[in-house]
Amino acid sequence: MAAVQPQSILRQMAAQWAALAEAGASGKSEAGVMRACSMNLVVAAEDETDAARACQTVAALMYEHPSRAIILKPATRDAALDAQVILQCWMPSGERRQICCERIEITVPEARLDEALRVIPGLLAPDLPAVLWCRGRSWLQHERFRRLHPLLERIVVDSCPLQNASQVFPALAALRQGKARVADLSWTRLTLWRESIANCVSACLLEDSGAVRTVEVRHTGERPSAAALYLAAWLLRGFRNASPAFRSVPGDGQVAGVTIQGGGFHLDLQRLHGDTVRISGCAAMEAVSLPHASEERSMSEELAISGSDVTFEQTLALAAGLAQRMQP
Amino acid sequence: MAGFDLLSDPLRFQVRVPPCACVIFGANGDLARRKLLPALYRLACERRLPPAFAILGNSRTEMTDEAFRETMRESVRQFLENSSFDDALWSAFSRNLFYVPGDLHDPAMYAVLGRRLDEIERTARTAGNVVYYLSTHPGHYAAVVERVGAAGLHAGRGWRRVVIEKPFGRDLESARELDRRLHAVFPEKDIYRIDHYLGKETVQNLLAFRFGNGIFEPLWNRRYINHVQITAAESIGVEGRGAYYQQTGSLRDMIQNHLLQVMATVAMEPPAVFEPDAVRDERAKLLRSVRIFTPEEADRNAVAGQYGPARVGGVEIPGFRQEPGVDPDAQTDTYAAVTLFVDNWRWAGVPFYIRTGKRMPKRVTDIAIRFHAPPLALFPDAAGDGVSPNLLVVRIQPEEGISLRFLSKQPGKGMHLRPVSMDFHYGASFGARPPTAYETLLMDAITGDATLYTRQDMVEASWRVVQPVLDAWSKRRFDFPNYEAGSWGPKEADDMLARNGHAWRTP
Repeated sequence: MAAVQPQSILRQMAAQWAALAEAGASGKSEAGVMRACSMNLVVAAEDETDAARACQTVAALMYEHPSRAIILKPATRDAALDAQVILQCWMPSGERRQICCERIEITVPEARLDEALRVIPGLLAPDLPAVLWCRGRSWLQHERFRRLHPLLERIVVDSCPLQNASQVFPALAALRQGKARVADLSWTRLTLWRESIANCVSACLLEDSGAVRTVEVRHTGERPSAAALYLAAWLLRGFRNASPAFRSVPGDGQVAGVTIQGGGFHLDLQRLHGDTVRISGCAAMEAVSLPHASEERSMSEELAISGSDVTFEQTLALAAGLAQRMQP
Repeated sequence: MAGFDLLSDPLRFQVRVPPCACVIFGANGDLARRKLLPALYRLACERRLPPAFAILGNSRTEMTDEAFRETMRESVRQFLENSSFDDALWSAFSRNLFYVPGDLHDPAMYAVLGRRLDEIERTARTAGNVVYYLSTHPGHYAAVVERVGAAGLHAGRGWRRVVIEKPFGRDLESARELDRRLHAVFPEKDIYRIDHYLGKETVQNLLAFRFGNGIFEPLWNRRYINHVQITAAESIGVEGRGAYYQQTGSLRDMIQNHLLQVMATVAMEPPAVFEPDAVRDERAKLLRSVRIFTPEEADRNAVAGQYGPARVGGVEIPGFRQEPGVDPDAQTDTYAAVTLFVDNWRWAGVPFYIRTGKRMPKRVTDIAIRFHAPPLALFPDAAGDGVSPNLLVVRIQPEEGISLRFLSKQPGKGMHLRPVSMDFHYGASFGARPPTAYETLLMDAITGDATLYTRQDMVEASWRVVQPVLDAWSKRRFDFPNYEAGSWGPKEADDMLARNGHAWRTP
């Protein structure tokens, strides 16, 4: 049975740094290399295919969020528990020094996940926050990662793969029992919607938010997704006298449109096709581009947030209440 | 309005930006084409501008709205930094781009401008808010503001603000005169004096570095800091602006405004709160604490230089006096170095050396804080003097970041020390494209945040600092040129530091 030990992984990593520095010196490079690390990012991939995508996304994230990334790659039962160290380097345009980040990829047969998780505390870069990103539906088995929880500042999950929103909020509540803060990429993907709505409402110079009576969120799928519930909850947080309404419509993306009205005020945002969203009502601009947020963009946004995210916390509580009320 | 506040989410997107129109005087000029329009376009791309936003350009060139859009499109394409041009976004952005041709001194132009602003207020719903950006020759500032006032455009349904670029006067007297004329139309709170150095991320980061960390501030005083060097070097010459530059010189062009503001940020006391006036009060207080030189002190603590011709890297570089449009006997300082002292408890006796120049070996702006040497030299180091003082370098451009130099034992036998550097590199730790100084400052003007803008009392305090040097230099006839293009400046500048037992570092 292959063994994976933190000391040997860190030795491999140190050897790679020394080799890079040596290469720089022999090339008479003036500036050499610079290690960039602002956090530990532990990534739990869902399966083998997902692991390849996770590696790509993590590589893309490094430019904005240089980290020590530790990627857990699920493998078949007969695969060996194994680790590989990679230094990812790039030379920013116009500069003289390479910037490098560290990535550790651990291949984990399912039965040996707990062994692999025991290695992680020894691999974390000291004194830096640690974030766990549970990809796909892996977060639903978060009990398996419980060992890591005391070390984590944040756990990032994605409720999008769950069709039934009523499952989402109890699962998130369970995850939030530890000290780590929880982020949901379904919420993150709403940022552009929320920003547009906030800007439009501001531009309309609405004098009394209490006059708004209805917020309608149009969603795809038979029942409102977690994203639709989040959006409605966030609007209700702003328009306290309004009632929520949901309507299922055809289309792509979890949210298809929003209408806010009451007291002579009317604002409607409707996704037309691709990235275009039509705004009608009081705003001057008729169409804006609201690109579907990529996984990389959403993760990047989440990793940029340190400390508590009060807006999400309050919205989550309201959304959980809405989900409960909507249960048959 | 509580509901609207609850729709904001400052962690993830810009807090609501008020609707407004931005009138740019001198819209066909260099600054507008190279900096302002690209900055506004970038802000639009990042959805930081409000949906109800319009730009109304003015210059003498006869153009239709459509021709103006086309001209600006080409400029934005050409001068956009660190990002790509998107046709679709430009198309949405340019829909609210308008133009009024006309002379700045013609009252009829302001009548047309007023009508266009009314129309824009109705169609683009800009709520009557207007930022007037004076991207014109400084000599027009007062007249334009007076015309705006005479046409009644300084007041309306919303707020009205005016943004002006340095120089704010040519000396203390003219700065006061300009201020008097600006204040006849706009109150101080609506006058935004832009100093684009203060908009640079690293300069802002100085505040975070000093007041967001606990470990540096206790060392930030005369007990631990030996001296401070601020360098702003340019490798280029006057680039065809010789005629303008010879009226200005580097002391007026750089030190009186940008570098004194940087110095104030380095040396100011912590504000009680991070609010515009609290921060500006501390900067102003620091500037008022800078010692005002007597004529003798001005001679001893300031050095003027002018570059002469040289062959650099196989290229013949003309001297300043050989530049087109420059008087062959010009007494203009293309280099200036000053030693300043801050007469307060924190900094008494600590020299602040500031230098700036054109045609220097490279383009670099940085601040070097040199700490005292250890009291006892226990170890021989590479330089053989047993001590190599710690140095904290804040790099403003081109590679923004912070480095701390300290001594480390060389591997191997013996106790041989060598200076090593611990680096924070902005690009490495925050890969995201930082906003340009103009993006930051334009957004601040629209949202009404004047933290990074200078105030009249700061302008006057800065002029008071440099005025004795200007007066002393105006009475002298310099034996220029006194440094070669491609060098670090005249020998007299080295001598000025040597008298205090110091030497310029090589950035």
